[in-house]
Amino acid sequence: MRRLIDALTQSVQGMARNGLVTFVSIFVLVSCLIFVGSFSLISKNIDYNLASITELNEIEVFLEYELDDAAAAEINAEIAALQNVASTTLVSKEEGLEQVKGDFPDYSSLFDNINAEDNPLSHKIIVIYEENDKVSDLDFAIKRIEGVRKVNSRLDIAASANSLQKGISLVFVWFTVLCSVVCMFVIINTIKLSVYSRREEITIMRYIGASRTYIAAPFVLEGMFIGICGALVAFLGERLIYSALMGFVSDKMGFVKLYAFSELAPELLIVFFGISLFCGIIGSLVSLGKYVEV
Amino acid sequence: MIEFKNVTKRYPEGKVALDNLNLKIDDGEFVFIMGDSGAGKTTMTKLLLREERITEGELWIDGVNLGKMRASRVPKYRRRIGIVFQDFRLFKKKTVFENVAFALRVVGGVNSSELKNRVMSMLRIVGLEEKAQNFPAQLSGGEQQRVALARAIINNPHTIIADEPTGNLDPKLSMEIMSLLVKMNKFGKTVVVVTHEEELAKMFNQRIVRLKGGRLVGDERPEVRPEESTENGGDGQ
Repeated sequence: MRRLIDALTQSVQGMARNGLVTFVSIFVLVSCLIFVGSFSLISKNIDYNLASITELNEIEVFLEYELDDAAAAEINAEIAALQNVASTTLVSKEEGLEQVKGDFPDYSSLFDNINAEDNPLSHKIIVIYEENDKVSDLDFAIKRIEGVRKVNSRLDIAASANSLQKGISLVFVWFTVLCSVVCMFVIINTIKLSVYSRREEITIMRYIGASRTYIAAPFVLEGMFIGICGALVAFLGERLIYSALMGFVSDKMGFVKLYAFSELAPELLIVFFGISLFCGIIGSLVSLGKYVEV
Repeated sequence: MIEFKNVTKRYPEGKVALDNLNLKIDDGEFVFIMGDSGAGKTTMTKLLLREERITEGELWIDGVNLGKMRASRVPKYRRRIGIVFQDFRLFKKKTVFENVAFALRVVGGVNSSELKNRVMSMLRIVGLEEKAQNFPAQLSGGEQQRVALARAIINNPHTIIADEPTGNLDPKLSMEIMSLLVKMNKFGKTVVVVTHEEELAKMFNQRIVRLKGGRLVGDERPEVRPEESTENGGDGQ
């Protein structure tokens, strides 16, 4: 306990001694975290909106006209057993006709003379699939089934949505890595200054027989403190920015849906604390380098 | 016991600082290591502190081969060695008490009342009890060196290494410090004093080891002076 108090005291003294540099470190860390946070929130919301376009995960399969209900049910079962299929719905010729009537309520009289035998529609199966990037395989497999006349899979839209989501994820990862590297460099330099101003003390400690842990602890705590301060300030800043963004979107872009901040807050806090503590601890240890070598 | 067995220290740039050195220092001995600049005195100190590693040979201290000691064991080893430097190396922003207490805290396992008692008794031994709350800048050179000495011995080391302990002091203060080292020796500590002050070393009737160009060139054992009393024997006064 006494050692922890000693280490805490020394780390507070270190920060006070390099007050301006500590402040600048926290400021840069906050800026980087807000960039990472904003980008991750935007990315989350784009995903959210893309996911709402459920049609992208749907394939329409039209069967041969002459097939009866039993044969259609058989093909439906065969499709349901394929890989990447989440669910299937068999729409009979009669149901299809009712849907068409429903789509054109003002012209329903046009369909009044069409009876079951004259029905020009075929059975249709609506397939909901799981993964966009495997949809071409599914499309191919369905087309090979005997009795299938036509397949509408909207592969182009699915592929575009898929690549957009992947692109956003990739940029997000790179952006996070880049900001983390910047944060780490800033913290490394701050702690280096602190270590440099106390290099004589560190030398004395080594001669007296202080362990690496004993010497490093105050500096690691200093790095952690910078990280925690940075994460908290960035979280509060992000909350303000997101509230302003929500206000703007609800006013001007009503068709866009956004998550409530409270839904994303836990994840954001974990990311902020994760990045900042990682940068703080690793930054401190890197800065100490040869100074703690025995 | 300290034993250098065919020790050679060669630095990466090729300079040979110690060349096939053989030297044995028994427990409780008081030894002056003497030599000019470049003789290898500082390297010897660094090897004893395990700040540098030997290139060839073996260096044993109390049955431990320093050449094979793992880095993780070094801090514990150093707690058994008291070190005193020419430039004192005190924490400038800590008081005399805190400077000495720091060495005790590094080792740990001492509660605050025991810590206070041990630090104050150590300061009493070096005659600085009254200046416990002073900062190093408020002390004379001799007093600062006495603080360094108190810090070096507070963990009850078996060996004290003093690297030019009187280099920054006037003759009177030098005598004070040397007398304290002799006193520590009488408490059973092995004392190794690295110095280039021939006159000072000769005033004390102790073993003198001479180095030149990294080699051992002299090993003078103290003369037996039966007339010297136990109290002042060997302190040169």
